Amino acid sequence: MIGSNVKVMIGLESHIQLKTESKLFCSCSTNSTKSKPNENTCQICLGFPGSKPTLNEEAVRKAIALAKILNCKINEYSRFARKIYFYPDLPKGFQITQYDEPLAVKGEFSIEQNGKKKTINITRVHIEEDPGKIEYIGGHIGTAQQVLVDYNRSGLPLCEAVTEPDFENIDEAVTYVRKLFHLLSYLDLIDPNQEGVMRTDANISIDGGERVELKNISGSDAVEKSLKAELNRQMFLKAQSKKVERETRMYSEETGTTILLRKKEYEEEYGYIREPDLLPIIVNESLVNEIKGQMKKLPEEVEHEILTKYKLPKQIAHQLAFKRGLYEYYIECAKKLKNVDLLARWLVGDFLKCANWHNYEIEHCPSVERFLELMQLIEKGKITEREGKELIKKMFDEPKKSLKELQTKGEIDLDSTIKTVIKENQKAVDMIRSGDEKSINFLVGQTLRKINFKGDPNEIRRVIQKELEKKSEK
Amino acid sequence: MDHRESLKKAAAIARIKLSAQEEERLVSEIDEALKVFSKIDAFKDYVEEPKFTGARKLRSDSIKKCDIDPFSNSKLIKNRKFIGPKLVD
Amino acid sequence: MDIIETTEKAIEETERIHKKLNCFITICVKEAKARAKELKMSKKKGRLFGKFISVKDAICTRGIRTTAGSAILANYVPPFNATVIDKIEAEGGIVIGKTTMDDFGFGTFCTNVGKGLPVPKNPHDIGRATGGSSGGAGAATFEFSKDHLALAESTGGSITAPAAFCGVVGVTPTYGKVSRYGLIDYANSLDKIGTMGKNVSEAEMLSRVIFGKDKQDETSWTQEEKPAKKIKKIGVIKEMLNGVDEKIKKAFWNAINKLGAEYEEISFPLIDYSVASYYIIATAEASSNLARYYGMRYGAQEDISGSFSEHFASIRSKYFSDEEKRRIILGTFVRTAGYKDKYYLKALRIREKIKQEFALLFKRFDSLVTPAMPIIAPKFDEITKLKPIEVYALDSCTIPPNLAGLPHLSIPMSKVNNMPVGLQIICNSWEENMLFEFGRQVESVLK
Repeated sequence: MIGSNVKVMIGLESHIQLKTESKLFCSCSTNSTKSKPNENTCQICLGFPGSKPTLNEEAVRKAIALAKILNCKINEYSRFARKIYFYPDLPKGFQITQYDEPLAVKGEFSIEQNGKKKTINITRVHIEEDPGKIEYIGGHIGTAQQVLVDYNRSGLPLCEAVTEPDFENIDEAVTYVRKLFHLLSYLDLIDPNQEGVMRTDANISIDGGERVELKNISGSDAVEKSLKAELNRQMFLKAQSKKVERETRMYSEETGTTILLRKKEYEEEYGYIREPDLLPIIVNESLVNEIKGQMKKLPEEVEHEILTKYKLPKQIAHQLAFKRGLYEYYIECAKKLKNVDLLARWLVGDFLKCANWHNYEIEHCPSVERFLELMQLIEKGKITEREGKELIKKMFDEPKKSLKELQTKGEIDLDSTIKTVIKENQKAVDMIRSGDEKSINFLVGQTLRKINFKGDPNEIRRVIQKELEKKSEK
Repeated sequence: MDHRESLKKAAAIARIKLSAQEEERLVSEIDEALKVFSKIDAFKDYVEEPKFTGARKLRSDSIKKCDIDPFSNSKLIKNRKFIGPKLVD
Repeated sequence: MDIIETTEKAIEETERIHKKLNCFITICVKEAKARAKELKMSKKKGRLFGKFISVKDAICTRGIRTTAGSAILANYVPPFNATVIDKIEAEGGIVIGKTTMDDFGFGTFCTNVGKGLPVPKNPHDIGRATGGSSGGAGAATFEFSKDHLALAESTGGSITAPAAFCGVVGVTPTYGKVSRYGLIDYANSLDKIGTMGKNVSEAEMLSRVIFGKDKQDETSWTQEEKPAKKIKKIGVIKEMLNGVDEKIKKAFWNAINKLGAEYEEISFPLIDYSVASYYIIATAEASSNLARYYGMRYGAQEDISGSFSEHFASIRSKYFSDEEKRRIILGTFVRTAGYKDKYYLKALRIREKIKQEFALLFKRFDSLVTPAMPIIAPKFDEITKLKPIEVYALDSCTIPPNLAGLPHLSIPMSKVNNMPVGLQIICNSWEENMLFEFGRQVESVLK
């Protein structure tokens, strides 16, 4: 349906949550993963009358680092502005951002698409604060009659990076978002585990027509889905000889389409003024150099270091370098293991496979100590590599159990095995849920296989049913 | 120059709904004030703003738990969140 | 008498004054008594021990209703203190009440008080206004018998106007000299917290307590103050006498001649743009500061209905007064694309130029002196006949130093038609020492 004879133009605005302890303008914690709604708030990020912002030093430093990654020119003098508009997630009725005097301008970022390199021009990078988070009561943005707002996110430091409309197809846009995300988390400028850490607004037009803005897309998968949905919509209009209007739209996961937020006529007039409560940001060359000096090495540089230092094969060096934290992990392990080839092979092999299957960052994987235990058993010949492959999967599945416990062949952890079977066989689960009782036999069979048929099928069926009930209650 | 139409638009942007009489009265008063203020048109100088040079120490990045009750001034609360109106018409 | 007894007496006097002049939105009976008990137990004294401070209701007091004089905040109780309140309490001062004001500071007479909140009366003639926007502070300062000091605030002249109309001393410090943390904003680049007292020394005492950089307000600053030197040469800006009532002008020249300093009349034509520049900048900032009042988290609330645009507009239109609406609309207009260059950006340039011109003048003069207000306190029914633009024009004496962020005092000069008139003395930025010294001189001469 998406014809290659259509000229597509896409520009992206990425809103990136910088990794800091405290918020951009107040000392509230930025980490709300374990917090109650509105627990990490204060009079400043709630916009209470009389409160005033104070700028976070670390946010400025990280923003400068980000701008450097995008090869921008850092302005020596930049200022904050007020972007004034009305929305329930905006506690002050204005967002403190940067307007005509941004932190950095005129950068570029290269991506690789089908073996070819392409340079994306970066218009600007600036600092601004995040608004609160909206929950739609009863439905989604189009149908909810009221909203609930949690201001834990309000005031988080954001870096906005704006590209020129240089993307000529959706794949390029997705590649850019993925590469940028990987690099920023690699260099410790963002926390990749934080929900909504990178949100994108996209502008897309076809054949030189009006551009439509898609707002607030979180994650590269959503970028792909929403751009495709919008492109389809625009192409459908074109096929009917209708005009694409200049609009602001939002992708809805529920409907799989984009929904109109507002038309051009009602486009907000932001009426920017200078932010009079904050002093200008002054960045001199020595500060930029200091920050550049403190930045972690880029993955390409790390790969080069591994090749020269450890003389490992290129493929292995590449994988070690590009997974954030894996090289450090390797170095720690290499201190206590003689066979570094075995170590490297295992890390980029089964270890990385398990990590990726679980979608884990290194910090969620088994610790160096635990992994070394396993590696030492293999190195000493106490277990075969094949047995090791089984064991490492269990180590990831059952982080609380010691290696010795996992090795004990007698004990079978039925619950955990069943959980894994359920996770691996979503289709069967869906069928059971929609009434097909027979599929439960399939799951029982899968479980028995995993435990070498050392279990009671009826008990297994009982546990599976209990587990499925639990899940549907959620 | 009559700015009444633009002033009405400004009221809408600022989420101020005026009755017909209010509109007639308030907008005219503001327009009158604007006419007087327009005398600044005659000022054409170029003015160099001094760059801020003072030593500036930014706030260090540490967490401070705030002890205020965020809900102390609102009755529109549900599940520890603030209730707001729907977003689209 | 110990502090608990003096506090009881102060509360009684506050209630009496309020009954007569309507100058308090909240009298802090419970809180003041509690503070007195604390102070007695702690035995700590401090510079303000035994003093009772009335606080303009735009300044946040934790746990005590703070309305900024507006109906949209009629029941707002801040969960935190303004920095100046912490400083006052650390020096043993007791907050006795919250004084009434024009809503958000939008007014010259203190008659734009929010619906349901008190309009204060002038202690010299209760048929006349007190001046605004710190009207309650002005009335209370004159009427209290002793041991009272007022915390007030000025954006375009809101300390000078009521000080002049009520016959007391009003101090507006250099912009940035006092922390604005906890001050409910009118215009952030123009707001200054200041003080009022029966004489210069009293007003200075409270001022010295609240001065100083606060890390919670980036725009606050501490600058090395130069020692006071004797005032030798003063300047009189010709343009600032335009539009001043003849009798006031006469009183002004009488006062000047008594001062014993050499004076020179100078021309400062740019001053004629100051009222316009001020109102454009102030309303632009105010329209952004008031954008947070839409019925969520604090302030007036109603049950949610309709989309957010409708609901917000409904609340704002219901609770904002005429003047609040005027200034929000004007302020929104001057910063929208298409008009921003002509109004907002130009006004910023004019302000900068006026600041630079003042700086040049202070190379030649130690102080600049003007009448505080062009008229005496008007009668309430006279005010209703004035159009908004006519009211704005009456800020012509107070706006220039406020626009430039210069420290200035208003001192009772004499009387015209039995109503007080004030003398405004202006010094260069950060020259508070000189300002107070000169103020004391003037005061002793004019007594």
